[in-house]
Amino acid sequence: MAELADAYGSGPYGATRGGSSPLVSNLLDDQTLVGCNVSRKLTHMQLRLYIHIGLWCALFAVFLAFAIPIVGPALVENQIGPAEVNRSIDAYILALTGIEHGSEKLPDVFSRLPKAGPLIIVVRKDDSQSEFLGMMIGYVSWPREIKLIKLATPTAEKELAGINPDSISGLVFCLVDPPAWLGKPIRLGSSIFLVPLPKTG
Amino acid sequence: MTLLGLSAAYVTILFAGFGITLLMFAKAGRLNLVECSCLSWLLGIGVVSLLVWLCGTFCSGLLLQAVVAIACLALGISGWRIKQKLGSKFALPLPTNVIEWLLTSLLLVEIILFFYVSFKHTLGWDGLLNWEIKARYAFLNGGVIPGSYYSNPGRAFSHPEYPLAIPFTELWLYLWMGEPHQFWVKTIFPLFYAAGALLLALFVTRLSTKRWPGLIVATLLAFVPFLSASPGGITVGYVDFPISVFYLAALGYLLCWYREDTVSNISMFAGCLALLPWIKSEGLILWVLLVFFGLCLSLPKHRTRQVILALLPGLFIGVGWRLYLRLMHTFPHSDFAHPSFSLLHQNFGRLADIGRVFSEDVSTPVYWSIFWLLAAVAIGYALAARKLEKVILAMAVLLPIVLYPLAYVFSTWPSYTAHMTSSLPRLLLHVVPAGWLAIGLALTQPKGQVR
Repeated sequence: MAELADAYGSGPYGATRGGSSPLVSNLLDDQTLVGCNVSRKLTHMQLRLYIHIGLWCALFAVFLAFAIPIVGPALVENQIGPAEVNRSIDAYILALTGIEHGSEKLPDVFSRLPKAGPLIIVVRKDDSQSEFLGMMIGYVSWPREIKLIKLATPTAEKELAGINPDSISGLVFCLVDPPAWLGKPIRLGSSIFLVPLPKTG
Repeated sequence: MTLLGLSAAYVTILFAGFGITLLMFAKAGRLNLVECSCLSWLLGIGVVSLLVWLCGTFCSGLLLQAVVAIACLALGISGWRIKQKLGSKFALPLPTNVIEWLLTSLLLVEIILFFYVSFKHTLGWDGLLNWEIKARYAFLNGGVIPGSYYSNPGRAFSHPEYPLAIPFTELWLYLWMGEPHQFWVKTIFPLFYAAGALLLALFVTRLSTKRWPGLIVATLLAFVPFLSASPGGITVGYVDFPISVFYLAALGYLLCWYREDTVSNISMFAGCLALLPWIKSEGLILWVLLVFFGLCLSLPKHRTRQVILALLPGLFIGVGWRLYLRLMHTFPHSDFAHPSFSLLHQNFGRLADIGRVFSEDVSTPVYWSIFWLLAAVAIGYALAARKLEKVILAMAVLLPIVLYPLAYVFSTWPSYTAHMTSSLPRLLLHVVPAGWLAIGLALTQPKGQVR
């Protein structure tokens, strides 16, 4: 409406108010022209407004049509809780290894290892589950020093050959089978092994 | 006891934030209670995390907790006294018609649902191993992260170089609860959603002078799938949504300052800007962009000095954190190489792949629905308006989207496309609330475009 007000305020409108001009008939014609222009502009604005409203309504409708089937199920999946201290870490360790209350049990096992030397955590490279489990072991074994070894090959021979067994406190294998030459491993969970004091082959 | 401690932690955070908000807004006369509450949370977590970090360099345990708590109370009391002295009054803006009541109710339901959904999920990979891990280790060491954590290559996977705003907010909750409770700590993330959605509604309302577009975009924010239903969103404890709220707040107050040159607007811009690099490392990119936008907007107003002063707090925090990392001999991160022209020249061929992965990403409906199309249309509206503040708004949405993918030119991952796929959507999330701000303002724009 501001534009309409501006249109009326300018041009011949002011001059026609007296009505005594000899050019009154022309001005009346002009006024008709202005009226037409204003009307055209009004129609144009209305059209733009309708396009604008239609465009955004359509965009929002499509946006919601795609979003609701994705967002909706997120509301109903899973259940609340349990409201436990180690809620997240225990859930992951349980899912990956089958160990319940892993955040308490695993540190308890690691506490029996020699204090000196890092705990070696062996994971399979480019295997996100194995790497994630290795990181979880790193998380719960704090404050013990750790070293992550990522195996690129199925056997751990090459990567483990350079390790001095006297300088480490133990080896944990995450979704990796420990080599036989290391001795008998302790199975901590479904896919996690601990070799407490390795011996070279 | 756990819930009592949790409540005490929140009270101290909000009290500190409320104090700072009142100190900044005291001269405003009329204080919007919703705005003050949102800012109390944002500034509160900033202040508490910074205090815990700084005070942790000379004390720990109960003494650290007491010192920070007293500082929070002192800030709250100072703010209140200044407000009383200047006679400012609180006002609660209530909806004025049926549509506004409906949209407001929907927004409140969404906020409650985010709390509900958060309780159903565990912390995600990054939420646990990049952020919460720092809070737990600090908690086990009396509120201070041990120096050995920063320099230990074995735990480099947890990015010791990442800043501490969110981990130390989690730590503050742990200190008060008396245990590193991973269930209750997740309550901080829906609060960021609440603050972000309400500030979004407020900025659109303030900049467009209409309330309905603000409420519409605030209610639609929750429907971006990546934000509410994907790993990386609000419910899994990542910091990407919190940083997006700070970016929105800083941008919003900058635009408000351009429209209304008040000390409170530029102060709030400075506060939110300062905390960007303290939330996440990528915040530095957003900080640089906002400083640039601030300078652009200050030139026609001849207020460059105000913007230069506003960038100083962020500069101190950013430089301070870098120095601290150097002092701690932090193990260097290895995801990105140090940028150089020779490396840029060497990896120039990556651009085609980067463009392809980027376009695939933004057009993935499972992540975004058609949000980026909406944002593109809004950017078109903003550019067509040919007004400086609208162009700046368009650039604030556009430039991070362009700069973030380009960073992968310097990725050190064996597969930089895999690096992009795993992290780009989270980076794009930083711009989502700002994108909704542009959409909200586009909704009321057609009249201005008819000339």
